Amino acid sequence: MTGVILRGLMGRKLRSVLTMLSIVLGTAMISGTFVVRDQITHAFDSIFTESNQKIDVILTKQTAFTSDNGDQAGPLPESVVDQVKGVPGVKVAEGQIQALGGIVIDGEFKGSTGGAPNLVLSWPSEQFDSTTFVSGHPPSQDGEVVVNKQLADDNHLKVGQRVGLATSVGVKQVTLVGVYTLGGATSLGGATIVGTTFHDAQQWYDRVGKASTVNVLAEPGVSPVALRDRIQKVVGSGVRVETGQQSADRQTSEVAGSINGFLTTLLLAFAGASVFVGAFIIFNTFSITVGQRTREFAMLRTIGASRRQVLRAVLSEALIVGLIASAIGILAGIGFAKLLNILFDSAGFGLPTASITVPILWSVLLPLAVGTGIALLAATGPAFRATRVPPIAALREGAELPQSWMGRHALPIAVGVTVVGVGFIVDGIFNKGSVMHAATGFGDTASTLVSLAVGAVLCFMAVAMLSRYVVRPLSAVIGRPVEIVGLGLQWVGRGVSAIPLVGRPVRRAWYAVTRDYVLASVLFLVAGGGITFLLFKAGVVPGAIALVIAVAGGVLLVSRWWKARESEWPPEKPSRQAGRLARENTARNTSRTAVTAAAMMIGGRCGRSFPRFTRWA
Amino acid sequence: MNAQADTPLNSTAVASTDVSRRYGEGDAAVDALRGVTVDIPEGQFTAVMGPSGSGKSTLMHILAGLDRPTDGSVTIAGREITTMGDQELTLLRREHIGFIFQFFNLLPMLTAEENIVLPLRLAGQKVDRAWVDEILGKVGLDDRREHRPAQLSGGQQQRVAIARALVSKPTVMFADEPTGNLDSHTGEEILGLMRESVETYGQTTVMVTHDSRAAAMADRILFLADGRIVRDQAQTSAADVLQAMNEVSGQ
Repeated sequence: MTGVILRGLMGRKLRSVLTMLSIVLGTAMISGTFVVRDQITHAFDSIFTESNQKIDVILTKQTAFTSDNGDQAGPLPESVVDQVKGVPGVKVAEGQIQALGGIVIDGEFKGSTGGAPNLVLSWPSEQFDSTTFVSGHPPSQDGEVVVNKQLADDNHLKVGQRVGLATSVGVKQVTLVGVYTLGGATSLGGATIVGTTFHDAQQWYDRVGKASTVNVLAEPGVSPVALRDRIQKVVGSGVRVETGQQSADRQTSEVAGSINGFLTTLLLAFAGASVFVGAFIIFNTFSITVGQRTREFAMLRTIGASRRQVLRAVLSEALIVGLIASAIGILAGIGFAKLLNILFDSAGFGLPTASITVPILWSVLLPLAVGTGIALLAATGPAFRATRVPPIAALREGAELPQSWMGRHALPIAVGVTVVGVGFIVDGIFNKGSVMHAATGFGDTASTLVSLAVGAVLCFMAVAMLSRYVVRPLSAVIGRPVEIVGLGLQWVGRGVSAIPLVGRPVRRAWYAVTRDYVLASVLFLVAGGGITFLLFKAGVVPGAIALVIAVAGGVLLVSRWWKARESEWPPEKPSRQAGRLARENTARNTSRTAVTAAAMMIGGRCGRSFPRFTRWA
Repeated sequence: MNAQADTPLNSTAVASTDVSRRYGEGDAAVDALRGVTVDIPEGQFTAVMGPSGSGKSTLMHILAGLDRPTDGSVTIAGREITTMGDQELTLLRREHIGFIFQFFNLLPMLTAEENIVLPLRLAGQKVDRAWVDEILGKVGLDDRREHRPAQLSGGQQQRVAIARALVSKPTVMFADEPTGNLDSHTGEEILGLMRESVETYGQTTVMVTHDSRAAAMADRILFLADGRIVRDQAQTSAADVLQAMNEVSGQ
């Protein structure tokens, strides 16, 4: 049976591809997000581990290397250095300053553009230093500075050059004496790190008599953990004492966490929207396909297929669509991660480029489960509907499925959904999500976002539900001029017998249907664009979600149109009656031919969907 | 050669007793059938004729278990089918019923041969290669077995449909206007083929048609009018059928 299903899908290539598209997009985003997240974490891990490699124990007042651009860590009194030196097992103890600051050239601050910190460090002595100098040497005298390679490259800085340094006491003129890299990372996540002497840093950053951290080297044979505990006893609880590795781990999770928090939320919001739209498109496609294939299911029932077999056939189709789409999505996601690297690089938010690794659970299994699960779930309703096709439909002309409860009440439901959806959006934009806040207790930002997202999703559903009521009146008004042009084209086309099919009534029916759906799609995109613009004013995330939804909505309508077009000529059911009628009419009244044929074909084929086709045609 | 050919002619394949069917309720109610009792013996080729609205299609739907009578009983191979549930009916169709449709109803993505063995596949039965080869030869599609329906002419498609109906050796084969969508020459070929399957395999066949030449191929013709059997006649010529039809319509 699987072979039959696969070939059925192959027979509807375009439809299958359209169906898969948004699932591919969604799974790609899920997969890519987690690849990037993994990559960022790895990269920061390697940076911090690398920079702490030669430090056995490190003392800080509090978080030392945050990406907050608020105040730097509160400094320790410099006396702590001497205190630590007295602890048995300590070989070297050295104070270090960390502060915010950066290079100034021609009065312009050359910092990161992406929100990564711009740091100034007093340069550690050689036994703690794990950087590699590309050119020059560490700062050895006051007035000398070193910079990381990316900062030097971006601003074409050369060793020996005079540059400005932004400090808490104004811009100081200094000499660049060295350019360094840290471990294998080419970038520090966009951060810039300028190195000075300890004395300069104390003077320029209001740290006289103080040290931001104290780096400790243990005597041979003394374990960092044991030394840490010993030092902690001496300095008391006001000072954080960690081993080098501990400190690296903590800093990794803090920095990577804050970057990832933002990135993951953004990308997963996109992914969520895509997957939602995907579910909708699959539901829609399968509903239409099941409707169109009524006769096929009925025939299968008459030749001995059970309800369960019909159910299984439709669900297997969804499963195959979901699996293929997810698989493509996962592959695309890994490519997408690469693309993100490039994008962030060009935005000046250079991610530290560790090699790409693919976390199996998050980047493969999760998107596979989501993509496939959503496809199956969305197809369940249509699949059960297919099982209710009575076998007798195989023998009856124009047999139709009994309308579902949803179908009978589509208008009030759609209007209700619209009202609720608009309510959510209003709450989100004008009310800062306070209703959502009151209901769920989410934070301000979260409430706003959730309100907007829920509103956008509901409005999208409503538009999709209402489309069939909107399409016809709209094209009645706007369709006229298009129709006149179309009929003119057909008239010309009949003269040009060399153009295959143009003269056939079937082809003309197609023009009419095409016109409706193309118009509707354009209108939907324009409306969607408007909503998107509004929402972008409200924020990037809801704007992005709306954009995805609007585009997908357009795709949805175009695909609907395509299906309507397809159904015009089912190869196994030629409508001779329509053809004959059209031919007779051609002789009498050329301009009405298309319309009559269309009405016959659509009326005979789609039944209720276009009952009043002729009225405005 | 075939087991069915040896069965005695008087055993009954399909029977209906006092079947009536009413659509709608109250004033709008329409009686499509008003007490039809008919007995279709095995190996017989029966044509059902009548003007539109006479109930001939309804009768076939009810005999085939596709529709339920308002009253009366229907048996296929001796089993009462009017009280069967969906699953039982599915099993009944697999074992006892074959269908031929006006619009062929083949699956476009399957080859001729795959379409033919589809009922066996659905029933999870083993495909008897020799039997499939034989019916493929019988319907003259030996060299077309790998063709898709779209690559076949209407007549060829209907041959595939006949082979598909024959493949499960059903108790009864129902045909709904099998020539309605074919030109007269091709239609005759198809009727000849159906006649042959009755002769060769003793295939019980019930055909609904409004084509007098089609009906003339049958062993027996049932004329329906206003939901009743008004005439039950043995094989006769197309001209006689036409005359009988006119009489029936005139009543």
